[in-house]
Amino acid sequence: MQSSLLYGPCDSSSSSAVLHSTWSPYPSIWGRPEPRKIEVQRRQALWLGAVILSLGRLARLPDDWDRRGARAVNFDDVRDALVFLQRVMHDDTAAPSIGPLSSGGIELRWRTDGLEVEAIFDRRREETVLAVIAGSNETEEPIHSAEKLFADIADRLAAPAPDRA
Amino acid sequence: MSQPAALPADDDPIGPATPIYRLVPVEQCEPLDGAWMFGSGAFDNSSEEGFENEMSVVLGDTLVLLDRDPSDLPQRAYADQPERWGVAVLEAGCITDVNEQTIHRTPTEHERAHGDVRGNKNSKRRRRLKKCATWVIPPAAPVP
Repeated sequence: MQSSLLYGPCDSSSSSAVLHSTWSPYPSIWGRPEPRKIEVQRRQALWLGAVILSLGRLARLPDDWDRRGARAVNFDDVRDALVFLQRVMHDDTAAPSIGPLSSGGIELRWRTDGLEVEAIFDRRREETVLAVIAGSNETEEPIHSAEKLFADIADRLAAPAPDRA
Repeated sequence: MSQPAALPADDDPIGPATPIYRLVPVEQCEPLDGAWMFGSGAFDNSSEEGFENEMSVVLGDTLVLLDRDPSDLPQRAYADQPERWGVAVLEAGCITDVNEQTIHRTPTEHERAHGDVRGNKNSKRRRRLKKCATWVIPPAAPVP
């Protein structure tokens, strides 16, 4: 059975919503995936829809999606990434590209002129870091202490005007 | 009638200028300016039990001896969905300049030019490997 990540249903008057998920790496004893939930607080953020679409696609990747033994994406890494994004992103920050790691972790990437930002969420390998690469300069911080590093570059990651329409 | 060239022994050295090819799935690419660009996650070790310290590659010097071209690697390796795979090339010396990385000849029944890049690959090392890489051919799947 494939995993899923669904947005809503939610109360339209509320500023938060819930992502409902069935995540196959956590099957119940009855052989059906146990529903998991992630609360989303930043419903007004421009990047949220794109992020949820990307994560939904990743949720459907089965084990061995790369034909080289890769693991299905780990729900806890997805939740960690969403928590981080909600903490540090501005409403108009561009959505990151999100890709899977062979370990089941995920990699978030932003690119602008002269700047690359990469966030890794990989509990299995105990690696959760934010890296900011500007030319040959590379700064890396553990995610739990990366708020200031992200804040320093957040304005440069604003979505281009057409995305805001 | 010419004889096929002898292939290297498994312990033959791999020169620093040898092209090393890595098959990259479209899941580890992102659209950038209308084209596919690989992420650093494309240069990661396997998660298969017993192979967690290895990244599968194809060795350019052996491919030449086999009179083959890297552009058909997706078709040979994943004939059912070749459009979902691109081929990146890295120079062997650039790989071994990254901490702890060594390249080994590990021919298989299906790929006589198969090799492995062994060594732990944390995110910093994956980014360095990505910097070594360029496309030979990007995935043929349409860019969204």
